[in-house]
Amino acid sequence: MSPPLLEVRDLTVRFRTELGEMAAIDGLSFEAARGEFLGIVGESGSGKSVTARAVMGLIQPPGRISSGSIRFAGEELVGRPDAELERLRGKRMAMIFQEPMTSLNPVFPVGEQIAEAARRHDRLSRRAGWDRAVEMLAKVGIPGAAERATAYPHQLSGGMRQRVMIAMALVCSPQMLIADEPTTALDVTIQAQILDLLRQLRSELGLTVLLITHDLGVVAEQADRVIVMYAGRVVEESPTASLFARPLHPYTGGLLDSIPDLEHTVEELPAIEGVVPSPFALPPGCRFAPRCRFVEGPCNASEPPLRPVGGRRTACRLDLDLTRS
Amino acid sequence: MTRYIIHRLASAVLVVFLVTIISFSVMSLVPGDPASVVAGANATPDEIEAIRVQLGLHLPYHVRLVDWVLGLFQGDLGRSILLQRSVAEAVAERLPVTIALSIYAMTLTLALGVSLGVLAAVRQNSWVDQLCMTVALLGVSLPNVWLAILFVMFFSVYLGWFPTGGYVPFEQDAFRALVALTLPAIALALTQIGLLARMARSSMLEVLRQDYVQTARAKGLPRWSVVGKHALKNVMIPLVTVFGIILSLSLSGTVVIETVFSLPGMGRLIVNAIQRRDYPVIQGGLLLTASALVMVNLAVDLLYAWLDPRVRYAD
Repeated sequence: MSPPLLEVRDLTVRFRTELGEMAAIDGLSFEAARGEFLGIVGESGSGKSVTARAVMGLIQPPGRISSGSIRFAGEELVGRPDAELERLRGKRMAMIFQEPMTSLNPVFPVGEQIAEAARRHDRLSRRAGWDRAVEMLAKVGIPGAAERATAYPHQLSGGMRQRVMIAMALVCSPQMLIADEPTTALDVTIQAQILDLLRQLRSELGLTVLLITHDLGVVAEQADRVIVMYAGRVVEESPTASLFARPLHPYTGGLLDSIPDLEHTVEELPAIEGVVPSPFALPPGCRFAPRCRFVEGPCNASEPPLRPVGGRRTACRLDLDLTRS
Repeated sequence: MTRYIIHRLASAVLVVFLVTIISFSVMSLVPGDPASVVAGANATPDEIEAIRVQLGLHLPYHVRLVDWVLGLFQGDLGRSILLQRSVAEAVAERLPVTIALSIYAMTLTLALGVSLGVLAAVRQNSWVDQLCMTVALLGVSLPNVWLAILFVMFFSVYLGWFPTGGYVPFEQDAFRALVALTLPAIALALTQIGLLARMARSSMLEVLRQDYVQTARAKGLPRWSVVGKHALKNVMIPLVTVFGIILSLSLSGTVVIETVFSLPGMGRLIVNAIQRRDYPVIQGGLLLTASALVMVNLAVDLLYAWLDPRVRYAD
């Protein structure tokens, strides 16, 4: 088996705040194989966006990577000077963001914003960079690409802007694309189009995709494998099909229960009681224990490690059967 | 874009026309009789009346207004009562000095104001930030007359690097002309530099928090390109808006600076004219100054549209 493209080990990212330093992600480990579509799921505050930024080397003060390792194609990224990371960003790994409205610079034509990365990383001339940008716009399904390249972001719809973001991210043919909630700000029909586009480009270009979302529905359709995050840690890691059929962690179970089901109408959607604990007041044992239906004495004693269960991993010490019908 | 420019030009013409009427009327309405000032303290009423007729002041307001406006179309700004020459001549001699001083000061304001502000924002909360903002605060708070005098004492009298005052025409010696204008320009620009630096800093801090700055970093652009290209063009939008206002501040500042450095500019010309009720000079001076400001604001508007495509296409 070839080594994974991305290998994150014991990564901790801390932020300095007025209340003191807190760990947004705490001892995070996961990997992504070449060509894999990996979903990272969690509520807001679970640390999933920070994970994406950390991998891209975009953590800025007051945040810092305090320990751990991020290896990309065998190279260690933690501790590398920013100038070296710049050569990687946009060239070998790229990222798209949640808000296509605000993620594009309002004062430059979209073609220029795409061409810029190509000029920088692939040493293209102004002319060739522009041609490449137009080519990319056509590739992401923007009609009249040559003309649209001269448009400014405010002249495009939300879906078009997200397509522009994708074109921008992929212009230098990166090996890995990180998509941070790429469809959250879009209409449902547009969401489906963007997700289809991502899937299509992924198989066409052999991309490794890290899709970060709070929406398990999005993950179900797209991802090969899913990582569920809770309070800055991985609580479950599993191939998508088995995650949905039989979650191992009660938190995953709770998330799945809260997805509306079109076939069975219910009075009220079950929600997970309580809220994600504050990073300043973490429970002594399992971080999910205060909200867990199955909690037992030992759960509160010490933090359970992520343990392997038949090719999957879970951070629950109990062997629960949460099989879903 | 063409429509936008035409629209702007049309309103600029209208403003200049209104300024013409107002500058003429204001001087006719304020109390104080030019004829008696010209005639001197000991003149008899008959002598004063004779001078009044000689100056054309006995004619009704609307006749004089039409005369003046017709003259303007022929490039005739009237004749100075006291200088014994045409206003156009007097202005043509003074205007280059003020224009040179203003352009010099504006260049300094833009270059130093924006760089100080951007530098402070990029190094937020460091000693660089503190230093830049201290300089900016001093610039804003210290009156430029006082600074001007201090500069003359230190750089001209003590160090002897610059002349204490006076003007060298550019066509005579461009280098010496620049040297002579350096201290006045710095003294004139300091307040504006302070204002612009503070605005540039807060604007840059705001822009650096925007999502598109993160996108630019995620593209792998180096820091100088993220700040100098993606952020700066957005920072310039609010700055350009205040630039027109800052310029009018600067124009009124020239009066004081020209006096301290004995520069023969427009500011001194107009102030002297006001003191002696030389109303043709005041009118002509006002008209030119106001027109210059209108032009600059027009340029600012066009620059604004060039910077911000959302304005360009909004009409």
